[in-house]
Amino acid sequence: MSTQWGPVIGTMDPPSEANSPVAKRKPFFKRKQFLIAGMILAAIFGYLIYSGVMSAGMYYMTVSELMAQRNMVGTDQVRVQGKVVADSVKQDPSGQTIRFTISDGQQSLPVVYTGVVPDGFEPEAEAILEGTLSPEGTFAAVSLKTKCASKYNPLE
Amino acid sequence: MSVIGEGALIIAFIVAIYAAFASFVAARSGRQDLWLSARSAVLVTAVLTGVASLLLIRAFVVHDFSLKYVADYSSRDLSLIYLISGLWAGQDGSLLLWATLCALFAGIVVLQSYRQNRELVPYVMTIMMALLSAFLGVIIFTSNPFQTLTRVPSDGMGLNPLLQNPGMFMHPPTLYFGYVGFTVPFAFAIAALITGRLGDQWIRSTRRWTLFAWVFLTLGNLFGAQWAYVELGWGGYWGWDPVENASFLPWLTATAFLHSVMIQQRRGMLKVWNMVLIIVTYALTLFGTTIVRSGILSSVHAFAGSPSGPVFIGLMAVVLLGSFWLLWERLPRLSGEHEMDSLVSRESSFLFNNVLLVGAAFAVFWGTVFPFISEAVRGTKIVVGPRFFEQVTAPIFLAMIVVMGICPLIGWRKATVQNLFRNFLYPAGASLVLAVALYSLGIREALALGAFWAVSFVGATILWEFARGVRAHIRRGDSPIIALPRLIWSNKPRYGGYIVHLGVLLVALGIAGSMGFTKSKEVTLAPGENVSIKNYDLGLVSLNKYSTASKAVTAATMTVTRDGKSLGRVVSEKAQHRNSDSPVTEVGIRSNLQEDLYVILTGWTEDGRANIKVQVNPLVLWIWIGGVVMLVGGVVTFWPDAREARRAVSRVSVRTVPELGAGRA
Repeated sequence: MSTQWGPVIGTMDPPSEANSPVAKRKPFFKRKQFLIAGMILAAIFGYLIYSGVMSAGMYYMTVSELMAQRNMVGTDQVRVQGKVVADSVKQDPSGQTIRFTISDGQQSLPVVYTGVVPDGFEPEAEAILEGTLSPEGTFAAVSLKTKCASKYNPLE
Repeated sequence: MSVIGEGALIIAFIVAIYAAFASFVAARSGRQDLWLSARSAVLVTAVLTGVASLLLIRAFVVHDFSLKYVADYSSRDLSLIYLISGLWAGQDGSLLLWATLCALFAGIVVLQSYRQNRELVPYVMTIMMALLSAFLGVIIFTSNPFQTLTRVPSDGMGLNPLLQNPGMFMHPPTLYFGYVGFTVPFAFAIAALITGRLGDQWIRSTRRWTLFAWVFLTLGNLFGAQWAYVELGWGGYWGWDPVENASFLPWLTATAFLHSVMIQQRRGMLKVWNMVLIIVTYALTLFGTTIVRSGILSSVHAFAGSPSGPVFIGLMAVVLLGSFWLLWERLPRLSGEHEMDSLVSRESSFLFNNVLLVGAAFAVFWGTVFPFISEAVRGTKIVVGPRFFEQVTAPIFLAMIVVMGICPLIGWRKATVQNLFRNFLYPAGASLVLAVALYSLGIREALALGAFWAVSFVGATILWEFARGVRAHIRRGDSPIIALPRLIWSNKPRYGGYIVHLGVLLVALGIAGSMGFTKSKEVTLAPGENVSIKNYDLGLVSLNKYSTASKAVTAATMTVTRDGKSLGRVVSEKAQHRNSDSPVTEVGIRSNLQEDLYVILTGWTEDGRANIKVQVNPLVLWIWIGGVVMLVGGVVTFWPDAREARRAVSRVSVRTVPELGAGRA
């Protein structure tokens, strides 16, 4: 089985190899040029990713983990997940702010949130919150999402 | 009926296994009779899976709730279109759709290659049929859509109301056409590795498939974004959710592949790189197909963990390890026919475009899996939010757009200063003037300025290229009206590509505008009260409740004026469907080319006031327009081109005639 395509591919070359001034190859120089360009690019990618993680990374915890490590977390933004406790959802009179409690079955966490409440938000839903824990132990959420199950159960 | 459906799948499974073995043995031994039988077997799998899919759709349409899958994902009150979409509403049906498309595409390849590619196609079928049988195995043993219920309910559970939206009707099937479409170039690549026919035969043979799959992957992502924008009601179209990333990753590597194969075709370089790209792209489509269902990634889409998760991870491992092992074996025979001559040349600008795309893919992948990495390394789960993805990818995409403008116009091998001047002087000048104008108008954000400059620069290079082509045609005596279409038709791959690039620019324009310059306000309004945002003024007319057969709706009706001129009314609703706990938001949107007014009813108070979030999202409409332009460009490149056909025929005849004898001996 032959795999040599032979010179046929050469016919596709826009300028012919022979009468081009670059035909005399300087592979070492060329490779070095590309090596440097590649290293610069890799460094830029590395820096972008590193600085991105540093500025946008946050811990992702369950309620119990957050409670256990609250000293380490301090006032950093964290993501915390838990079930919305039934009958805990209260709306402030102003209308925009809601208060509720989430729980992971062991510990519970009071939450205050101002903003758009997603459609999946309901008692017993898995809520994913981002925000900070205040010294008094209330979680001030700046983002509220819920796990939407494409498969959902009808009302019993 | 369920017996027929299930039977069809089981027979298809067995026939697919037979086809995989028979085509392999036929390829090894050269036995023509065995190959003819394998070909027929491939066609049989296409028919059988097609029948199974149609039977499942039929079961949805006639409300056959004796099937668990139908009872789980539909109800009597659904309209026909959403009954049909039940096919891909859940895991079982989605996998069936995947299998059906795979068998169908394999059948088309068999029919297309009646006279050509006789050396590659048997191996291609081995690969495709092996993959098909793996999916059919998963369907039959773990996710059978034809599973029946012993007690037949009088009505089904209904379709998740969030999925009852035109965008969601289109999003999964378009994405699947893209995912499964890449099976063909992947299988050809592996066949090329097995046979040692490592030239560009496999690339030429799959050019259309690659384009087809890429266009559908693009549309699938855009439909998903559009659905999120109008249906999820959080004000955006892309949230960097793991599941969104999973469909974006193969798009990035596929785009790189689409471009780097041109270098192999023209210059015989980057052979190993192309192999790596198609293998990685294919693995990522499998990742995208399965990740949604696996529950592996924490995602707002996450479904309950399913037993097929580990099977798919195993399949991905087999595909990756097998492909790379084969590539490793063939490595010595994949050396390029030329070397890169200069950093400033078309070859290296293509390479640069590839590095950027793959770099972006790596960054997105890294951010998506970072929680696992950090948990494995440091014991704590650290997630990165949308801000990470925006920060990292924005500069990369910016550079990518600039390269997109330079790539098609820079000279091969080594660009001359003259070449650079001729192609880029006017576009660069015009776009700089625009950037200065924007700066003086008060836009100071570096990234946004950069984006608008890049988009206008690249747009100008493309339009300049079109203008020169049209001028040449007019000089040859064409009338000015016919010159543009004739230009495009004279070289469809090239000008179709430019049109796709214009579409990308429009999408980029829309993203730059809506990312950087969205204004938003959250207010609580009583009827009669007003809120103004930018030059819009909204007055709440009423907040009222009404019920239909399937849902209870709360609707906020508002009057809208812009600069004092009335634009009529906009309605934003929250609907509580009777078979679902959570409400569904219907966003009120007023679009024009400049911006979208986007109104969300986020809730209400007990005394009858409405919580409203109002946003003005600039330029969003251009994202969807860009999608249409990309589709048009894709169709143009896809269209049969006389020049391309001549080129392919002449090269095939030169190359494969001596091969045939050698290969068959």
